[in-house]
Amino acid sequence: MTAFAAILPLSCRAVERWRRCFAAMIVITCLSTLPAQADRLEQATALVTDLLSALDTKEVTQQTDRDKRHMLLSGLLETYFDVDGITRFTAGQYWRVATDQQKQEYSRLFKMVLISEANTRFAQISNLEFRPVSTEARGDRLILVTGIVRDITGEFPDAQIIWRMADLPDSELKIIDIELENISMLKTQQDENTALIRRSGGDFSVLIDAMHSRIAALETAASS
Amino acid sequence: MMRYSLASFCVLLCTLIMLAACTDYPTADLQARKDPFEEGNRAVFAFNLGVDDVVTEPAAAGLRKLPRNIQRSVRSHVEWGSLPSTAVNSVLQGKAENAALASLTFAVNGLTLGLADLMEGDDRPEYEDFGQTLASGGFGEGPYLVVPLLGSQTVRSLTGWGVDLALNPYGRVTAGAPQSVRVASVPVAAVSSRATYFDAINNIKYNSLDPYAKARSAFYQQRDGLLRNNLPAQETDDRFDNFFEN
Repeated sequence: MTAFAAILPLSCRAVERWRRCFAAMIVITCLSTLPAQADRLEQATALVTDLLSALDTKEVTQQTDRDKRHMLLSGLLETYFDVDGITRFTAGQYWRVATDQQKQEYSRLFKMVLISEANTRFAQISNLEFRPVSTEARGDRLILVTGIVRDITGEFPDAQIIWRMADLPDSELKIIDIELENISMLKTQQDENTALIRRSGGDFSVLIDAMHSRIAALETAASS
Repeated sequence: MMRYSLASFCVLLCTLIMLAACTDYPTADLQARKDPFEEGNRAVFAFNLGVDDVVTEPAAAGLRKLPRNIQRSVRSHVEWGSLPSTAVNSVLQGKAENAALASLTFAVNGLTLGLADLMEGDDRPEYEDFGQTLASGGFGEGPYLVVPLLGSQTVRSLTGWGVDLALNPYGRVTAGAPQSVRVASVPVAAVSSRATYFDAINNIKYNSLDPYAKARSAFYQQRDGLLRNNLPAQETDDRFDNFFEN
């Protein structure tokens, strides 16, 4: 009993010491990661504003040659977006069952569709003005830049926009999704593509055929 | 007659709520499991697209040709009409501040019958409907339904729509208005909404590989966004977990 009485205060002191050490370690860890995270958040906001500035240059806005603008948009897409990740995600669970040839073909077509649609709707996009509101980390791999889009023509009411970015260690920040009024472009595209494949019994080539038809329709619309 | 229709409505409401409660699915489940009536829904979707071709899209295109301030007034009036419902549902969900804000906005903008927004600013009441109230109460969303003329719904949101329509105090406020004005308010709201989201809806309609799947996805995301303040917050964005797995 006396031995216990002697040991108890000792063990309490030891536990207390360890608790203090542990708390200090946590504080030090948090303090050392906070500036790094704040940097990443600042970079995320800057990435969005840089992209919008790049889209707003005379070189892009006053470009009348459709093919040249296509090239410019393609460059911006590669610079600011994680095109490979987006391509994989939009094929959903079927990406794993697609053959290498199908993956390559789908990647090529998907990029063509993305740029063609951006090019076709460039007039609508160029009328929008972005005001950043907040930037926050979501989990440990995503950063969300939230803001308000205002149509400078006054035709549409203000809308909330979220730029979603992949934040992986030792990688550049890249945009993976744009969410407008709660509707994610990436998720919508994935749901659409996977529904198409599912209805055809899991045949990935059906999606590729549908994309060929879509590109043909976009080219017809552009030339008319 | 009135007692009969109220009784029928109550029976329908109870049936829908029970159906919603019985047919809930985990959120991580596949979209397909949420849509067990897909073939029937696709047929109704095709019908709705036909109606849109002939009626709603041309009417919305016409509305868009009117001067901007008239378009804004129509949109503002439609939003104003939903404020009493927002106030009531905010009270039911225990959101007193939102209820007060919705009531105040309704009263102030009521001076112009909602045609002008006298409360312009960032402090807007959040839209709340009875479907959201049911979600707050823990009722499951039930299967996905495409309803003729109404479009995408879940059993829960459709139930909420019915309750809001029956109980919206706006109906009492406009009780003195001519019958034709009250009847016209529903299609006007539909055309105004179609005009506001004209390009987005046309994008789904004309630029999709599968317009039905795209519309269903957009509906669920939009609805989930509305429900975000009714359900427990998520730390991570689990819709995108797979992004890092491939």
